Parts: sequence; structure tokens; C-alpha cells
Amino acid sequence: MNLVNETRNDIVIIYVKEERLDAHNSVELKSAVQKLFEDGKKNVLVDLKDVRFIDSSGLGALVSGFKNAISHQGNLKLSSLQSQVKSMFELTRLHRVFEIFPSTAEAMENFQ
Amino acid sequence: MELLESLAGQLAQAVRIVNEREAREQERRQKEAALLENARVTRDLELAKQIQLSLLPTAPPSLPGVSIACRCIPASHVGGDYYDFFQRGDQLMDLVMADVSGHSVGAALIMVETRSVLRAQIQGTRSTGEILQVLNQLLYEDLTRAELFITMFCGKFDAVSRLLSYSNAGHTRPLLLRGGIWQELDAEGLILGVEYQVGFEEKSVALEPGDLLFMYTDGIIEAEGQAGELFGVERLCTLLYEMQRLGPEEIIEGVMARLALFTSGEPLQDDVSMVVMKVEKNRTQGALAKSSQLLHNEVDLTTRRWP
Repeated sequence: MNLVNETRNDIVIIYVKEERLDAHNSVELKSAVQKLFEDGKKNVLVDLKDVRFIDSSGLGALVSGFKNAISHQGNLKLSSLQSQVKSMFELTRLHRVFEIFPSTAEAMENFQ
Repeated sequence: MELLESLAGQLAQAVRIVNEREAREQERRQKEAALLENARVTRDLELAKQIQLSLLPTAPPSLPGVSIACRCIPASHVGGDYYDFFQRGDQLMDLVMADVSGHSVGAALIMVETRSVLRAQIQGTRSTGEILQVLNQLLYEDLTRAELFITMFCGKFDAVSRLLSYSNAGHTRPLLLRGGIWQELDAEGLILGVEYQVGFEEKSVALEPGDLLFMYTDGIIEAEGQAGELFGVERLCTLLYEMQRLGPEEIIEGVMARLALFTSGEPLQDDVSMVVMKVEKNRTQGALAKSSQLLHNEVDLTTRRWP
């Protein structure tokens, strides 16, 4: 799975450079987020700009990250959701659970 | 001396040949063991799949004024689809349609747990919202540990008043077709296993003779065509619209046939489950007028009309 990490002002941004976030690759994202919180990072932003399709396994990886953030007193936010991804969040009502921002920049401002 | 050297050389070669043969033999044995192990795992998974399928209702309940059909077509692996019916007396029925996230043995195990908890709890609950709330709290810890979640639609149908009340925990929205109009039935809530305290809205709709209610899991709309395009809700609705005069079993067959055509016969990537309920066309005008009014008052979701 192609994940690109960037750290800015103590915020780790994970860019998911995949068109699909599904059963085949979501475990890697889950482990990557888990490791960040275990290593003591507090602020993680997952950017989904390139993700055109997400299924329940993909959502599961993000929910797991969300719970990990809570148990480590950290924050996990999301940015740049494409339309299919956005509708999955709306269907499951996860858009009420996650903080979601239209762009990386807007999410970064919100962490401050 | 030369003779000795030659003998030593031949001896070394013989030892090398024996060693190589033994190594090859060991490799063959390891491969054989791996194949056997693989066959054993495949057989166990197949057994698990059969047991899981056997936990789904074989036949829907029989209620006056409606005909129901249900089907689960599993993908090649064990999955997390689940539906069930709970009949209460001659006229009342609870029904659920659910999907555990992921395509793993873990999802299958959680599906079995969900079924047991639901069966133990459902008699003591009054409303669909309460059922989802109780389930969410009872399963929350296990779902968190398993890193899974469940989407679930829960309905309660009264065959005499034809009133369907329902709540939804983020499950693919069931479709209600009435003549040329289709609606998605949705209600506020959240998928199970994310937060411990969740309130589930309860809505209701009075069904009318000729109505078609289609409950399903996302394996249908997420099926992919040759170019990677999704089957999608629009295509499903158009298909149901074409078939709405058929019986529930024929509708299920029709959806499966169209899916197979769409995916060019490729194996399913995800389980496909459907429950189809049709309201028979032999009710009185009075009930019709009342139910029509209820529909307009209580359903406020996506409404579309064919041209």
C-alpha cells in the first residue's frame, strides 16, 4: 500500500495514495495509524484525496484508528473525501463521529 | 596417490548427490505437508461457511397479505451477512438485515454472536430503536476488540395495519417501490460498535397493496463491472421497477441473473443477501386511504420518480 507520511507542526499527515481503500489494503493503514499513536504521536490527519472507493473494511480501519486515538488521548481527523467515500460516511453516520475537512490545509488549521 | 585422490573425489561427489537427494526429498515432504495443511484449512473454511449459511432462516415466515422471499449467496469465503425474521403471533414480525465489516473468519464469528444476542434479546424489546440500542451496548466491547463494526436495519411489521416501523444502524438503505416511485428507508443512528451510547430514530411507513420492499446488503451495489464501474443503487432500482409485478422469488432470481451479467460471471467479491417483501393486492379502499396519508406524513427520504 502506498502511504506517504509528512510531519508538520507536530501533526502527522498520512496521504493514502491509493484509489481503493478496501479489504486488500486497509490492514496496512490500520497498523500505520496504530503505530503512530503507540509511538506517542497525538495528532494524526488521514488525507483521502486519492481514494475513489472505500468499503466496510476501509471504514473499519479508520474506525479502529479513531478508537486508538481516543485510548491514547490523541486526535484523528480526515480530509479531502471524494463523493463515494463521503456517501459511505453519510450512510453509516460516521461523518458525525469523525472530524472531516474539505482540504488538508483546513484540517491543519483546525488542529492548532 | 592419484588413485586415492580420485577415490576421495568420487566419494565426495557421492556424498553431495546423497545430500542433494535428501534435500530434494525434504523439500518435497514440506511441500506435501503445506498442501495438506492448505486443504485442511480450505475444508474447515468451507465447513464454517456451510454452518454459517445454515444459521440463516431457510424460509421466511408466512403472514397474511404479504409474500416474502430471502436469499444469501455467499462469496467464495466466509462472510458477515445476516438476516433474520422473528414472528410474534399471526400478524407481527420483526426482521433484521445486517452486515459485519470485513471479509474474514472474524466477521463470520461476530455474525454468529450477533445472531445469538439478538435471539436472546428480541422478545424483551418493544421498539426497533430499542433493539439496536441494546445490541450496540451488548456487542460494543467485543466489536472494539475485534476491530469490526456492524451495519443493521431493523424493522417491525404489522400485517393487519400494514405498518412497517424501522430503525437503521447505518445499513444500506432498503428500497420501497410503489408504482413509479422509489424511496430509500433511512433513519438516524450509527453503525454498531463505534460508540457505546447511541440513540436510534424510529420511523414508520404504512405499506400499500402492490408495494415492493427490498432489503439487501452492499454486495449487490458494490459489485463491479468489467471497467471497474459499480452496479449502484440507480441500476438496482431500474431493475426492480422492471420486475415489480413479479413474485419475490422471481425478483431474487432476476437480480442474481442481472448481477451475473454485469460482472460477466466473475465470482462474487462479497456476500449478496436479499429479503423481498411484496404486499398483495386485495385490500380495502379505507385502509388504502389511511396508509397513503401515513406515507406522506412519515417518509421524508429520497423520493424519485421514473420519467
